[in-house]
Order: sequence, then structure tokens, then C-alpha cells
Amino acid sequence: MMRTCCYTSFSYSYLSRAHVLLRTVRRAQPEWAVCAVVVDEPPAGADWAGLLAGFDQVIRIDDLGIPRVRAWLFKHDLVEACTAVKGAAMLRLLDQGFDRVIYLDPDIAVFEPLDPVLANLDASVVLTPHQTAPNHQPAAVRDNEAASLRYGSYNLGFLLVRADAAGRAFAEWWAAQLHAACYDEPENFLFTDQKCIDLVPGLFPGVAILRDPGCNVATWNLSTRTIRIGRDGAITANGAPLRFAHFTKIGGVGDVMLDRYAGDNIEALEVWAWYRRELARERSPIPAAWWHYGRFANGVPVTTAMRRLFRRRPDLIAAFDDPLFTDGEGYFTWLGREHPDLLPGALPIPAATAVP
Amino acid sequence: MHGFDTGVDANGTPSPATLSVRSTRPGFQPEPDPAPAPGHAAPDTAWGLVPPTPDEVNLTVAPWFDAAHYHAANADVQGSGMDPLQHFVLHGAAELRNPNRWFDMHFYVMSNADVQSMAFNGFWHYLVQGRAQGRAPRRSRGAERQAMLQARPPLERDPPRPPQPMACLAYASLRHALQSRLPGAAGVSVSVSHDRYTRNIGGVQILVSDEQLAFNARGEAYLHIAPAVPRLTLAPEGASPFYVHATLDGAYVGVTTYADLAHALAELRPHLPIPRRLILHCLLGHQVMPLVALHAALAPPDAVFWVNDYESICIGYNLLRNDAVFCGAPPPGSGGCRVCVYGEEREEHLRQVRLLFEAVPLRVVAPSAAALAVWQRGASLPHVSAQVHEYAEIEYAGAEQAVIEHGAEPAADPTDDDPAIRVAFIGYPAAHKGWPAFAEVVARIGGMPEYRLFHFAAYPPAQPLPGVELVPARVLPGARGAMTAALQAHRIDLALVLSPWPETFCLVAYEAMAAGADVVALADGGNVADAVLQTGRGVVMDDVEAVIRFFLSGAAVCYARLCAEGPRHTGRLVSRGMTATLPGAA
Repeated sequence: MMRTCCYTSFSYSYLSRAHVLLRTVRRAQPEWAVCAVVVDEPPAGADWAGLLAGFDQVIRIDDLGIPRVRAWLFKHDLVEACTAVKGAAMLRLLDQGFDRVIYLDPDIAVFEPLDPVLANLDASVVLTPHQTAPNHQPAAVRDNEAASLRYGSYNLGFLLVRADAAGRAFAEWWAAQLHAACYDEPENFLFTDQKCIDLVPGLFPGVAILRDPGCNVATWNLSTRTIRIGRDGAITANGAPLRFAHFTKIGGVGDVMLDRYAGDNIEALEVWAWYRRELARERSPIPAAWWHYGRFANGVPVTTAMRRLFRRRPDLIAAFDDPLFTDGEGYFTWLGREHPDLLPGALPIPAATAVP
Repeated sequence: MHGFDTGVDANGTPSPATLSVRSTRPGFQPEPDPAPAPGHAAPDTAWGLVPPTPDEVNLTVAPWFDAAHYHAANADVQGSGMDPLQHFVLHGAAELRNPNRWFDMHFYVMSNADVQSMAFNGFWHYLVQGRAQGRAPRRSRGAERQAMLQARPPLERDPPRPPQPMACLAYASLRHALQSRLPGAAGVSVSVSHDRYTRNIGGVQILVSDEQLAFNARGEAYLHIAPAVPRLTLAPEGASPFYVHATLDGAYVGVTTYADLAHALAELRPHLPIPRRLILHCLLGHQVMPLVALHAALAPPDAVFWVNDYESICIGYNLLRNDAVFCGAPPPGSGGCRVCVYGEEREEHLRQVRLLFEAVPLRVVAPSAAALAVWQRGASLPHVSAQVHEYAEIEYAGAEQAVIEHGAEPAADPTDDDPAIRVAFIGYPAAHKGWPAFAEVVARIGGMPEYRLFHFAAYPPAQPLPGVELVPARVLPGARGAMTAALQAHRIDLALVLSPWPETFCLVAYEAMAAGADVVALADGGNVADAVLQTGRGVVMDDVEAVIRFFLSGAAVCYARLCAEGPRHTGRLVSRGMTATLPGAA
């Protein structure tokens, strides 16, 4: 039997989602190993091992062998950081002897086994497109196809890589891309780990496009997929078994898109309502919006502007091993002196020290 | 089973050839169903409409504007002191604020590009043009959507409470009460349901009462047990002592415990007559193992389980997945169950039910073929036999038949020559009785001169529907025919019985037919749909949108005229006495 590892990457604020993913993967594919890649530190006193007890393996940011990892991490906001580690984690898991490694976003839930559709694909890399059928309404084209042109045709909430030569070649290329620039900068043709994937079917052999309508059902394709629940209890999307759904931005813009594109598809709303109930019952002990790497050591929030300035300046990257550090000379102190406009005005700025 | 094709296959799925409007009424000619119009593709455009003045808008929308709702939803308007209608006409409509509960301004404007581009007041447009064009005032399947969004798992809705000590009868008093009646009776029935049928009036309570009267009429005793703490689920295991209300021949005995009851019955058993029965009408609020012990104590040759609902198939006893859509009773653990609020608790519930069916040899009795078919498909429980025994039948004028009920005389017809078709909702405004679906229909046809809308109920609903006339009508032990009489007095043409689940019987559908009305039912309505098609007294439709199109297109008017061409069959609903007349009793 093929040894499969499924992994997901998240910060503790997404712990509830990761638990729902874990439960549903266990049920659908009990033979898969499930790994958590955690890009966070828990609040003081929290038992991180307990929080992650259900996973077969936990990879923490320090385990990935990334040189000067704190400085590298600081270049990324929360979403960028949780995405940027996916490549390194993929390589690490491929090295552990799994026959294939599957990434699933933490806000995915698996309803039925994936193996029946994956078994038909003799591929080293498997991708799922955001859309597998064209929209015809201008508003739907704008919301869906246009967004895919901007952010990438394939949704990297799902990715399968087989541990063969072509799969490894792809994984090494992808990991290098993410290490260099896993940024949300569509104006620079970058969108985290996703936009560059548009090149993959051309760059690598053995790439399969999984177009099964029951896979990666999400608000960006609900306009062309209808969920039904039969009298036999089977949930389908356009007639195919619903295998996994992606509950992107639930509680936020995802709800607006759900309302817009589920329309009167009550069964789709039922599936989303189920996911909300599953999240609600998790009762995570982690404070809302927690991210350890989202604040300086003195508690000041790190803004996108501070990160973008840092990642644009090789001198700053070289100068500060841990930019979150605030005692004595550090990036925070440097910001106060050189870019007070980027710091909240009321904060006391330490006296000037050496300029890096 | 009935001998004609209902258009529904063994799985309850409409066959491809099924029309969305079906009837077996002689002379009924189904018209082609107009293409669905709601929202997605407007059949016409607003071009050609002249932009109205504010005064014209005011005049048009005023009758449908709900000032109280507008104030409640818009605190800023209430605080401003401005007249709410004026605010709506001058500002609120452009800001997509809703004029009432049933019109969704945002949905209407956003889904009708012509209205949006002409910057019309969407509500005004709906009233002067959109409704006639079949445009939807809000998203379709709104009733199901609302029910689904409000659905909660039973444990969350009705969490277990710690048992409270209750003052209850001394054992000697209980034993004395039973001893003074049971040994000398011509038979003994112990009946179980979810509440005290003598205090609460509803379908099951009426039927239990009829059953008691029927047994008493032939000299048999009738001991009824209801949980002291009512619940919408089985009671959690372990709470002991478990308190129940005991009622003997309709007279309240008091609060006792399962254990005392079982003990008293076991002591009296050598003196108890045959026939002896245990009759299970409803398990909600009860514990299973004490019921098993009660059965052992009574040692009846006959035990009957009534399929009054589907509690033996699912903890969601109406089989409405997420309180919204008939689920078809799929196997526990299916995808549908996993996303349903009842799914997780269903398995433990079924484990308890199975304990009962394995311990007690039960005859399963369903009040209709539709209910029995659902039960046989959805429950895989051991049982002695399964049969249909209807609750009641209509005794049409002139027929001679033994009756149990006390019928009320119809009031004199109102002297009203309004030619509008009279359309009614009957009874408590509950979701599983089709009230939200009725509200959807009202939202779409309210104000059309072709129709006059009624709600017949014991009490006014918490949120009365605009344009619906409330008619008080309360079925009581001394006035079982009150509803039929009220419907007949108001010459109701069509009763909307839009239950979205397979009703096991549905008294109101029969009350409507006994009053001379025809019934509009949904295909998933179980015995309602079957009764309509068996009798030719109504129409059956696939969904609420089809019902709305039936009315909007005028097909309902044609249908009502067809009904009026023939004689108006009226009568009264006669209870059959439940278990008291059940064939094959021990």
C-alpha cells in the first residue's frame, strides 16, 4: 500500500480549523499519516503538545533547517509565513520515505476518501483548478475567473507530490520559490505559493489536473457546482461525490461569496453551516487573532509596512537576526529612529545606538 | 396501498415523467408549468416604466409597508423621529432597507439589473410590475434556508438538566388507585406518550384521548404515562428515580415513578384481566429501560408501537435534515447525517430505540401506508408485525357510521359574495406543518385580488402575516369538529398543507377535506400527498416554488372553479379509536 502523508500548515489561531481537518481526514483516510506544520508559538502557559496531540507528527518552524529563520520569517505576514514553509515541509516529508505527500489547507474538510480519484491519476504532481467550468455572468467572471488570473489558476489548498524524480524536482523548485519570495504582491506577479504554480504544467512532466467537481469545492466555484444530498445520504457536487470542500474566509468575505454563489442551493449552505458548527464546538483556548510572530517582544503589533520595508532591504535582513527583539539595538529601535512614521506615535523611542 | 401511480418511486424520488402539479380530480388538466422566473432571469424588463414621483411611490407601497418592522430594524430612523414610510420612500429604498419582513430589497435590486440601472425603488417596482412578471421578492427556498440556519443539535437545544426531586404519590396511594380500577375492568391498556394528553391539545393528544374513550366505552381501563419533565428527545439514561405523570381513564392520578408503577403492576398482575396491552405512542421524554421493566411487570400479551412520527428512525423525528429538507432516512453515518444537526446524536438514540424493540415484542402500527413505507425503509428494527390503521376517516353527509367524536355544528355562512378564491393555513404555525412555506406563498400572492387568505388557529401567531385574516378555531374534547365547522363556514376553497416531511396522517388535511376544501400538498408530504391523490381532492406539487407558480399563473383560480362546478362534499372527521379498533389484537 502506498504510504501517504497529509500535512497542513497553520498558526494557532487556525487550530480549530486544523482539528476539523484532522478529524475528517482520519475518518476518510484512516491509513494516512497526518502532520501539522506550526508557524507559531503558543501563548505563555499553553500546552502546545496537548493542543497538537492528535497529529502523528508536528513540525515547528525551527525544525525546518531554514537559515536565520527569525529574520526570514519576519519578511512574511501571517498568511505568507504559513504558506512559505509549505515547500520546506514538503521536502522534509518526502525525505521521510512517504510515497506521496499531500498538502491540505487547514480550512478544508474531507468528506469522502480521496484515493478513488487519485488512484486514476498516474502523476507526480496533482493540482486542483479554482474553476473547472466557465462562468457566464459578468459578476461571476469578475469574482472568479478574474481572481484566478490575478492569484493563480490552481488552488494550493490542495497539492499532491509523489516521491519520484519528477515530483522531487517539482518540490525542490517550489520550495526554492517560496523561500525566495512567498509574498502577497500580485502587482509583482507574486501571490504566496500559488501564482507561480501557473507555470508548473509547462515546466514539469507528470503534472495532472484534477477536475473532479467533488474536489476542492469552494465559494470560488460554487457558481458552477451544485451540491445535492440524496435520499441515500450521499453528498454530491455536480453529481460526483463531495470529497473535500474548502471553507475559505468563513466568517468574513467567504460568507459574502457563499451568499452570492450558493444562492438557493440549500444543501451547499447546509455543508457550510455544518463546518461553522464544527468550528464552534472546538472551543479553542487560543485568543482570537493570536500569532506569536505578529508582535514585537514589547507587544507592539508588526505592520505590513514594517515587513515590506524589511524584506526590500538586504542590509536590514543582514543586520537583524531576530527583528522582533526589542531590548537594546534591534529592528524596532532602528525603526523608531529611521522610520518613526511606521511606529505608533505614542511609543517611547529608545536613545540612538549604532546605525546598522 | 392505493392503486394508482403517485409519480414517486420506492425511494420517494419523483420520477422523470412527474409533473410539478399533479391531481387526480376528474376534469383536471395540468397546464405546462411556466419556466421558473425567480430572480435569476427576469422575464421582462423595467424599460418603459415611467419613474414615479415620491407621492406615487408612497401611495403604492403604503399598504404593504410595515412601520413597526422598519423601526425595529432601523434604530437610526426611530431615533430621528421621521415618519418611517417617508424615510423609506425618500432614503431607505435607495439604501436598500427592507420595507417589511418579506421583501428583500438588496436581493431584489441586485438580482434585477434593469431595476438597478433605472434606479427604481425596488419595492415599488415589484408591486407595479415585478410581481406580475413572476419576479421573486426574496431569495427562493427562503423557508428552508431560514429553518436550516436556525437548526440546532438536540443537546444544544434541550440540554440535560439535573433531576429535581419531586413530590410524588405514596406507593400505597398509587397501588390503591390502580387496585380499585384495574382488576375489575374488562381489559387494561397502559399507554405511553410525551405529555399529559388531558392538559395539552394537539394531534397526538386528541388521538390518545379518543383511544381512551373507545376503551372505556367497552369497560376497559386506560392508564396513561407521561414524563414529568417533557423533552424533545429520549431522557438521558441513569437519572433515577424517573418521575412520570399517571392518568387513569382520563382522571389525573399524580406523579409517581416508573419503579413504583412497575412494582404496583407486578403485584396486581395475577388479578389483571386479559386483554392487556402496552401501547407506545411516543417515547420522547421517557427512558427506555424503565419502559422495558414496565412491560415485564405488566406482562401483556400484546404490545403496540405507533408510528405517529419517525422517532424510531431518527432523533429528528420529522426526518427533516437540519429542520429544512426531507432527508429520506438515510443510514446513520451517511454524508447527509454527518452534516445534519441530528446526525451525531442519532446513533445513540437508535441504540436506545433498538434496546426497546429487542426487549419488547412489538406490533408496529402506522396510521397510513405512506408512514409505514417510510418506516419499513428507514428502520431496521425487530418487530412482530407491521400494519396500517388509520386514525380517522371522513364521514360524508348522509353516511351512517358509529362516531366517537363530538362534532360542532357549522356556523352560518358569512354573507359575503366576494368571488376571490379562499385559501387557508390551518393550525399551529410550525415549520414542520408548512408555516414558513405558507409565509412564502403569502409574500408572493398577498394583495392579489384573486385570492383571500386565512389562518385558522386556536391562537394568533407570534408574527401574523400581513393580509392574512385570522380565524379563531380551537379543537377541544367537546368540540372536535370545530375546525371543520370554521373552515366550512368560511367556504374555504384551498387549504395549503405544505408539510415538508412525510406526514404520518395529518388531521388538518382531513378536516379541510371534510369542510369541502381541496388541499394543496407537497410531494414530500407523505400521507397528505397520498390522501390528495387517492381522493382527487387537491393538488400535489414538487416544491414551494411550484405552489407559488400555481397561484401566480392563475392555475389555482381555474382549479378552484373546476372544484366549484361539482358538488361540495362536506362531512365530519370521525376517529377510528386507535388501538381500540386495531384488528388482530391479542
